[in-house]
Amino acid sequence: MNCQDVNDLLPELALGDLRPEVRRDVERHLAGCEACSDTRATVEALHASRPDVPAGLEARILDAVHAELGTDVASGAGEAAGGVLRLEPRRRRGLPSWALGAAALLALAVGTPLMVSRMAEAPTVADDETLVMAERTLTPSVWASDDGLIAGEPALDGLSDEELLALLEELEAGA
Amino acid sequence: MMPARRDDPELDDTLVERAQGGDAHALDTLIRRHYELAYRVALGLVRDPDLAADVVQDAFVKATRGLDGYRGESSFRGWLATIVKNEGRSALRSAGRRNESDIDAVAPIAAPGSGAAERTILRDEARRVRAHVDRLPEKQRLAVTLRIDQGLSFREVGEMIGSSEGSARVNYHHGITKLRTWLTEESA
Ligand SMILES: [Zn+2]
Repeated sequence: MNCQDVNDLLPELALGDLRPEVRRDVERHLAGCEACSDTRATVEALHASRPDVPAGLEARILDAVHAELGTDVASGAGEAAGGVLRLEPRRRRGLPSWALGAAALLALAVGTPLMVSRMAEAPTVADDETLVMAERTLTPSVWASDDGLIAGEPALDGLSDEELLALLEELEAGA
Repeated sequence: MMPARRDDPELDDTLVERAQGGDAHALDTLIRRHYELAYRVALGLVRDPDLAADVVQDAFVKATRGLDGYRGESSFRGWLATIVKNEGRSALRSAGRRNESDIDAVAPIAAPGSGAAERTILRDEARRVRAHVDRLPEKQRLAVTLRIDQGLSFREVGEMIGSSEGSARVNYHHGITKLRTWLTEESA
């Protein structure tokens, strides 16, 4: 592996996305190359300071788009959520990223139809902030669910295995 | 690295066709799939989280309005990125923000205290490097942030910044090299 190869892979190294054998080769090069080690430090610093996507942005965009389309989001809520209680957001401030992880993982773990009640009954597992996150998580699922979107799906939709693993780590770190 | 479905232009195009036919759920899926990427493009452009959120919201509304105009000449996300960038430039103009070429100076950055714990030093380094990212020329800034923050490949970065894969790689490496140099100068 030359410096160019190693430099190309530094973002994946920071993300922990390299296969073990490739990672070994990269680390071996880094151990003997000061320039690449410096670059690695820069990439790691960038990775460590990755800006969060604002909480609620997805819901906000969906809201604006549905307003544009003339879709009445709130009116379809009861049916769309399949009779699941729809909780109103209580707070608008930002939430720690681990709370999102907790909500997403709980949705994954307990099965989405149970999510709301489980969240509500288990304050030791899901503290207040996690509950708020659960509400946010649920909110997008009440749009346009002509084919019965399940509660909690939006939080998991689009997440890769790596992202789910990262969420698990955040949850563990936050617990 | 990225889920395959996010990467699958055919599937996006299928969803676009359904959305063009009035399927709101297909449109929602497209939004959920791409809003984070769109936000990072906007943030890379306007360098302000609140403004970037406004930009990406407006861009999706415009994209919805103009969805019939998308004919699949480019990928859907490439098309979306173009709308986000146009929206971002327009927002910068209305906000009377300085053009990127005017932004050479960032606020003075304090060196880490000598007695600081290693964690604090790392955090400080992370904060400093982000301040420097804002000084990079636009394409380099987008290449660096989309590659590292969004985990895009160079081909995908090229798609987002409207350049070839090779040009995306060059922009990324130039950006990283500058950041490395600036950080080193600071520590010296
Ligand atoms: Zn090297």
